[in-house]
Amino acid sequence: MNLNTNTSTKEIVLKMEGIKKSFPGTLAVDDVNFICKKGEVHGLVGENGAGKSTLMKILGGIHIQDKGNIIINSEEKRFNNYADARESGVGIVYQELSLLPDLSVAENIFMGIWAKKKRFIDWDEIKRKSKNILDKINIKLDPEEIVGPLPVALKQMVEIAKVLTQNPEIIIFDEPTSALSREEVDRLFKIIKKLKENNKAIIFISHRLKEVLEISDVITVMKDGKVVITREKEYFDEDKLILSMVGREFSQIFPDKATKIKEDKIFSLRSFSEKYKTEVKFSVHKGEVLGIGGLQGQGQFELLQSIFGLGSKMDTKIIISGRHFIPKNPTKAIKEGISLIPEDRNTEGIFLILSILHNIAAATVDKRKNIGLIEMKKEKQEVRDIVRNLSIKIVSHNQIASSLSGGNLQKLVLAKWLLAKPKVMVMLEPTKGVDVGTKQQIYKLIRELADQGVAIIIYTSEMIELIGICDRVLVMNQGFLTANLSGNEITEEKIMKASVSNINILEEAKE
Amino acid sequence: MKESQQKIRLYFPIYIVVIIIYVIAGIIEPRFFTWNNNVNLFTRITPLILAGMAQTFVILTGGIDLSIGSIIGLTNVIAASLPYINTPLNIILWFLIPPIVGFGVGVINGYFISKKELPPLIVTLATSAIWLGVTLYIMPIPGGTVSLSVALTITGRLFNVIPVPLLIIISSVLIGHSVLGKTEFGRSLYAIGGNELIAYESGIPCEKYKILVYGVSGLLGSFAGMFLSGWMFSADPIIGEPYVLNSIAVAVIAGTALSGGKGGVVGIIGGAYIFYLLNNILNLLGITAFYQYIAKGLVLIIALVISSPDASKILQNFKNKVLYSKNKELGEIGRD
Repeated sequence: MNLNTNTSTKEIVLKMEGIKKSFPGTLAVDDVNFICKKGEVHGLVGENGAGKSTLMKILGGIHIQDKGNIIINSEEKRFNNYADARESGVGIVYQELSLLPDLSVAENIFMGIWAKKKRFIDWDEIKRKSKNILDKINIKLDPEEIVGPLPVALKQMVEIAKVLTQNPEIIIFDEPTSALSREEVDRLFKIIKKLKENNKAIIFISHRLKEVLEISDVITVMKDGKVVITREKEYFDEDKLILSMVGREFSQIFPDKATKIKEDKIFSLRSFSEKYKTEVKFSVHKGEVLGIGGLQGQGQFELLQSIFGLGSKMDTKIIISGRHFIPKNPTKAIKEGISLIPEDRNTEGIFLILSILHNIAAATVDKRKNIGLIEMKKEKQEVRDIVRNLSIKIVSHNQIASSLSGGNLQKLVLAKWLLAKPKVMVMLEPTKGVDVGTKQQIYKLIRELADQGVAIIIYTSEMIELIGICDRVLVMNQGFLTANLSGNEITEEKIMKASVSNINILEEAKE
Repeated sequence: MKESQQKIRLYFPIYIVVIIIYVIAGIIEPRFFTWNNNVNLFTRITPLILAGMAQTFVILTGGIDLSIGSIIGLTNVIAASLPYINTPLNIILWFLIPPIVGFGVGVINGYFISKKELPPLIVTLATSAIWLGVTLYIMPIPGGTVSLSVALTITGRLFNVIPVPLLIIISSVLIGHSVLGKTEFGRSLYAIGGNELIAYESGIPCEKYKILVYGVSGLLGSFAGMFLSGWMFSADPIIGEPYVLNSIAVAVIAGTALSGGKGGVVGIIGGAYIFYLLNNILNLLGITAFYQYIAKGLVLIIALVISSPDASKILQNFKNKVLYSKNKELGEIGRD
């Protein structure tokens, strides 16, 4: 495609030709051509499930392609495992850090390739070499330090150092910035630039489009397993990237807000926190989307989990549709019409080894019983309907849940709780780790639910979501409420100000 | 349609193994195919199938029941110690008391595992010792007897044709299968084994079902104990011991993952068959005991490898490799 028209004179180090890889039910990578040059940063973007991770895993020897060739330095290679790929000069800096937390920096960097002196491991040599490599990327870190307590950013540097020991020609960064702050990202970029000067080919994968635009020389966009476009970065801006990723522009992402909130308070809560010794009171109207904001870790999680009967550090009393209720455990909370979308879908949301049907039906099995037996037909019908409504991409409802991609998994959690037909839906970070397209679908779904009269309480750490989807926003700081914003008052400035405010609006109202 | 296909694929390998062993046995010794020999086999595998089902239910939740052997022994001894004169009351008691004991003993396991959050391995090992002690106290050496009509019914034939053990096998596996698939209890076992935290947050009463599943295990164990007493016409306090590990092996051969959340009872008959067919052949061949043990171990490993989920993966990889080399050849031809 456009690659041939690229006139830059840099030497091609990697050529992937006609790569195809299918998993049961999905064609993950479909006839992809991908080229990397020395001294170039190649950005790779796409929604979750677009096939970029699979492509990189093929390059890293973790998956084996069904079809297609990998050519490194004009030599055709076939990787059967990671070691093969490493030997051919491919290094991967993983998204999930692959370090052993109880070992030292030096031990981690030289894991498996110990320097030896007369059959014994030569620790001094390993420490010296580690120091050298760390110096090369300008990181001041004692090689003897234990990795576990280091901040994420430094762990990442160790990870990079570890990859560099192999002296790779192609280095893949898989979502390296998702856990980093802005300054840390800058530091990482300095290192990447240095590697680039040393004539390495770098593949940079990220959901953060600004950063991709900042660091890349060439950008490839993937969608549904295919390459949509490969062009020099000058061609792109953020909107163009999103457009080629999802076929929509960013400004259209949020649905319209409610025009008029109904008057009936369906849910009121009064909760005392033992940790902060503070009380919180609020109510939610039918059809209202209420956001809980504030800095991270100000008691929002504990508060919202206690609504569902989780955790024990809160003394929470609830009135739901006029009934008084103390949430003791999830079973009781579900009976009262409360649902909770947990923050971490992998540990709290999805039974990864169970089928899609079992997952979606799990919370509502007792609703479909007839003389003790589950009505299978009804269950399948309900599951089929909800899968269609949420446009979850599946092959069969007997498919194992772990075979789905991140966005589809999040929809699976939503499907499970939608079947429970809740009156109040609590959502913790409902769009965490999903791509732009799925985010938009989730926002739309939240609004539809609200329009059907469900009261929705959302905790999200993304400011833009608070502003974009919530009808009202409560801001919490150190366990108490510092602001109650609605309509035009919901602005970034006001939310930030309230996040650090020390005025408890409940006490203020009393005085 | 798809669902049934998937299940067939899952249980296919194990029944293939059974058929292979069966045919080999028949070729070696034609008497093997006689109806009488087969009826004899049904009788032999019935207790193992019941114990394997008990174990499967528990393993599905991620637990294990090492006390199943002692429960079989205890209920076996109780069944042979009850009054054996043929009166309606005696027969009702015979059918009621062992199951109640088995269920109750199982619930005690469940209580410690669920409410006290103790590890199932240790809890059932401990209670296993206790119930073995109690059993030996009731009946230190083999003895006792059961009502003749009960014994004849259990191992007899319905309408003089259909062997009762076969009926027990088929009906218990069918019931077990629908309990697992169609009841809230069965469904919850998979959820608990899949991830107990998520099960709890999905509103599934995990505590209750975990107690219940050990109760059910004890109940099935008591059925095995009763069957053994009817078959042997007496009791043996240590009759249950071999069933502890054999029941686990059968459950795993039948496709249940020891980590929980995956499996079922449809493969159990095949699993139990593999166990006894082998004994049967080796005996018919007159092979000495130590070779028998070695052969049994080897066949178990082979059965496990064939029925494990990895087997299909290995097959798939093999196919891929063949396809790859073919593609390459084709590609080269194309270039010419």
